[in-house]
Amino acid sequence: MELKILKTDPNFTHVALSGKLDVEGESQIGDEFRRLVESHRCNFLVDMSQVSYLASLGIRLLFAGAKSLAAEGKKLVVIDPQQMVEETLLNSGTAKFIPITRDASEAAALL
Amino acid sequence: MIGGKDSGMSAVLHLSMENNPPELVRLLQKANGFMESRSLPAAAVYKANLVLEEILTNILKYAFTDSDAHRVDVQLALRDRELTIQIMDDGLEFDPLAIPGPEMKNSILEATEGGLGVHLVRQTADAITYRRDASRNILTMTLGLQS
Repeated sequence: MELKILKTDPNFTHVALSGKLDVEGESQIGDEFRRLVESHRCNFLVDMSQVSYLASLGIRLLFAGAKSLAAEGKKLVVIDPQQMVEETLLNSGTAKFIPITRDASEAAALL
Repeated sequence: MIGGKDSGMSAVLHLSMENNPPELVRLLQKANGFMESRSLPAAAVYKANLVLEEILTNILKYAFTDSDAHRVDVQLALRDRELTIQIMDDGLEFDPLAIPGPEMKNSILEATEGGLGVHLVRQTADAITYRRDASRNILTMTLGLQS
């Protein structure tokens, strides 16, 4: 699992995740993700187009980030998840709080 | 520990693991090898991984109150157009079907992620049954194999 910062902006931080966001993946990038959310305190765009698998631990990571940002009126938005990953997000019930968009423009428009 | 039986359109794989994370990773690798060798649809492999990981992770975290090694048995049975996954452990009695679903909240600030893993399993599997038999939890999940 890899985390890459694509862009930082006063209004948002755009990151990309790639690989499997399972127990092992979360252990690889979880601390860095949490640190970024905690330190940037702005809207977060999370490109998940290269995430091939998402388990509950990964969803919890996103959810915790979204909840932390929501306390300050900020959002965490997911961009372009693969079909099964999107289905997992929808099944989890968290898509209600973590918007799913198709591209960065659509995501930025929600901020 | 691995055992299998193959007969035309049906196949069965028996796996065992001890209750620790490296064993879980090894079991998932073996399960994936079995599913991919039979060209199961990608969506079915994804769902099987999801339910296996969620249930087995919960067992590792919550089923045992001692530090002893415990064995968890997993059986994957492929038959007709279904994959049946059965997980058996001798941990604390736990029926995932009895766990209430997550409360629907209007605000993320009020929402919690408790019970998320079990909820995902219930949403993902086409059918789930649970029984307690001679101090063992036996959870059986069925996934359809439509592409």
